[in-house]
Amino acid sequence: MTAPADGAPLVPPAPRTLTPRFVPRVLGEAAAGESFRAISLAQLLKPLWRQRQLRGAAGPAGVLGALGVTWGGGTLLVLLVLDYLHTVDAIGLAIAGRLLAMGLLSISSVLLLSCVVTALPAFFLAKDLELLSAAPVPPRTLFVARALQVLAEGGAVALLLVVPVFAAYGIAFGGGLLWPLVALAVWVPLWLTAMALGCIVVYLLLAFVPAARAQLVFRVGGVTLCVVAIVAMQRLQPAQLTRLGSRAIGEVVKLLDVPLAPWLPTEWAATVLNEWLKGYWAPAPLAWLWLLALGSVAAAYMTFRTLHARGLAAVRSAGRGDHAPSPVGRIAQLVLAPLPPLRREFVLKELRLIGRDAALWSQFLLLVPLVLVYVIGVSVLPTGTGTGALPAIFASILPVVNVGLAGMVLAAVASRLVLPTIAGEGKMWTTLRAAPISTDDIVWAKYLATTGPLLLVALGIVSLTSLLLATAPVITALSLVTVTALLVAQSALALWLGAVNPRFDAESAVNQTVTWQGILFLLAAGVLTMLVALSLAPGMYWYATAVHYKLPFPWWKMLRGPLVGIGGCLLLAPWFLRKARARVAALT
Amino acid sequence: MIQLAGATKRYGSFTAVDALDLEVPAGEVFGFLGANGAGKTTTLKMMSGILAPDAGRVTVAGIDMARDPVTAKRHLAFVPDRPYVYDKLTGQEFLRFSASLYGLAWSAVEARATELLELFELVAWQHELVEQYSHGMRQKLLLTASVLHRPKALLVDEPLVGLDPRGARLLKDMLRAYAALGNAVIMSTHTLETVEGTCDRIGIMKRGTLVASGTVPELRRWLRMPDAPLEQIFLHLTGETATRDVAEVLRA
Repeated sequence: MTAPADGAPLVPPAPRTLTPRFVPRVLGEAAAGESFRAISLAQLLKPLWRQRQLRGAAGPAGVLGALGVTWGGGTLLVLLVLDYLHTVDAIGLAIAGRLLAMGLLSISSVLLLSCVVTALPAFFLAKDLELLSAAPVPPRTLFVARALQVLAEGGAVALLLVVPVFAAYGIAFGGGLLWPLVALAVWVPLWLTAMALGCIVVYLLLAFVPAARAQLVFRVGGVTLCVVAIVAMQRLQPAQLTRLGSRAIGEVVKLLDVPLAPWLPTEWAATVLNEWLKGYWAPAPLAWLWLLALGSVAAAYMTFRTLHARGLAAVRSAGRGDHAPSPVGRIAQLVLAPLPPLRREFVLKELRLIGRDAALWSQFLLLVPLVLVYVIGVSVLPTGTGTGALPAIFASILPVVNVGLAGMVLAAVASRLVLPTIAGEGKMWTTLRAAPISTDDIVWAKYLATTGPLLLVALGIVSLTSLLLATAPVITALSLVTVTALLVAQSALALWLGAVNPRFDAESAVNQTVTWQGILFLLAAGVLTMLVALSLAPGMYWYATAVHYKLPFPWWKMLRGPLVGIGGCLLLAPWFLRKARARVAALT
Repeated sequence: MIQLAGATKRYGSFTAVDALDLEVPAGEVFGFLGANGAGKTTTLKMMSGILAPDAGRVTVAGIDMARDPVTAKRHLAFVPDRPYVYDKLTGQEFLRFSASLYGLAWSAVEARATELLELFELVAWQHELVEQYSHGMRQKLLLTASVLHRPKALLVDEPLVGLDPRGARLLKDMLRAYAALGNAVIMSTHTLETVEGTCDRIGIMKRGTLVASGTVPELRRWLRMPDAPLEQIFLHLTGETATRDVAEVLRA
């Protein structure tokens, strides 16, 4: 201890103490006016809103920009299709009507799954639930606050998809000034119903499933929902749209106009919208939609009152259970055996965490319907060489589209798997940086552990769709190599952007997906995918021409385009990884 | 003030708390002791209404927690061992939110909140985002929030973790003073000297059951260990042993 320079004796600051006057005044009986008034919805929502506010100039501007691009581009794309259908006499509007029903079903499937996925953290995993559960918050206020959260966060993806569809239909078929209101009147009950059903599914699941098996049942539940989506999709018979040629026009119009699944709310919605576009008003299906929505919300609230406490207790014990090494874990250990011990254990740790993260897995379920709808769409295309086969030009375009769509699906998966991997360390990050582990080891372990499973997904999607499209082996091989290179670059890009201001304190690392870095990644990955897919196009053209005219394959002309795309990806990947390494090294 | 009758909590086949009977009257500081995983936190969470017991009853100020949780919780405050505070709120905003959680207008409690912030030396930090706070500062903020509505029962889980010595002393004084005003304070801790210096009565938990409860002298008499320090009583009752050769374990 050093004495002050002026030689004065050292006097410690006076400690704060509880004075005799302080105790009764501050801690004693309540003063007049301190009457109890239960917390309002707005007060409960305020901190939630503050936690999610985007900060920095890049945030709101970036999101608005991305939203504008997505909605503008999407509207344009749907308008192109509808404009073409407009030129088809008699059956154009009927096909458009059927497409609308199919689109609404697909989007509603995504909406429902998204609500299930969002309801889990909102009602059971959020970090503030302990604080709120211990306080006298009226159950109805808590339910409404969390339901609004599910509505907003669960509906965001579906809103991205549905706005361009409604906008394009309104423009193409002259919906008039009231069209946005009609679309809103139809969409809101679908949205409310999906939110309520999503909440009910989660309450039931967590209340009645043994805690240790909750994750397993959650996955099975997700797959079941996907199967329901497939069955519903098959009921709508998308194949009819490609096999209309042999029927009489009147028969086709009648066929397309009749709802094939009248029990589906999306069909009621489509009926209201299609009738409006034809100049008629269909109040009955709209009334059914609202009745269903209000009934579902009431049912969700009753289920919440009955089961929420039970589910919360189940979640608190969800970590208990036998996590002995599984056969998959043993295989992973064998595969990774050649790696040095540190990297091997780090990669294994990453794989284990990925495998046991219920929030992450439930996010993947969101993507399954998208992939399934795409695969079903591919499976009904008339491929081969028969009379109904697609022209050669389409045959050459399809592999390009296939790689493009696979790339988009992979970007969506990477945004949930690779992007949050640094943030996923949470408070362990400090421990990790204090350990004798090099930055390279961290970056490589994260990269390998996430890119490996993604590669399996990529190769699976492209192989399956190539098989369904009856693509030639050489084109399949080229597609596989291209998608691998694309994935290597996408994954490195996700790792880099994920290392820019990672949210170590997020409720779930998957929340990193909805930051501006996440949106930036999706846009950049989309552009990269488009460029790589387009690089395949000239090669496919030369291939189709050679097949059509029975000429020898012009290998160089076929391969130079794809080689540029593949080479570009392979050059970009190490650059992205270097950037990721620099960011990780700078993280404190 | 707070009563548990046969309170039981199971996680699957594991019984975390087994038919616990306990009553903590007004004016008492009660301390829970027990090894890690003994059921202390689960008990506190049942008392606070966060976890519903699978069997038994919890009553606060005569109100059944299961029947009327909102009214029961108005008389309670719970400070968890790993507190969550919204990090994008400032300290003062968090206090405003806490006041509204317990049905109080900010204007009615602002002056007291400021005095409490002064007491915990947080006034200069009240307009900073909570993400800038240290663990100890968060703990102090949460303690401030917990007494704003003057709960009749204050439940604190490991309250001293992260507090500096002055803060720890202040908290112990505050808990005693709060109980002296006619409230019940129930705390869980591993710091034996805190228990001895602060608590009127202690309860020792082992594998979900309360194996002993009483004042320290009562426990000494009951165990016929008149001069034993609390540590020895604790180890004796929990069946743990402190005699294992640590050096041997470290060398292995």
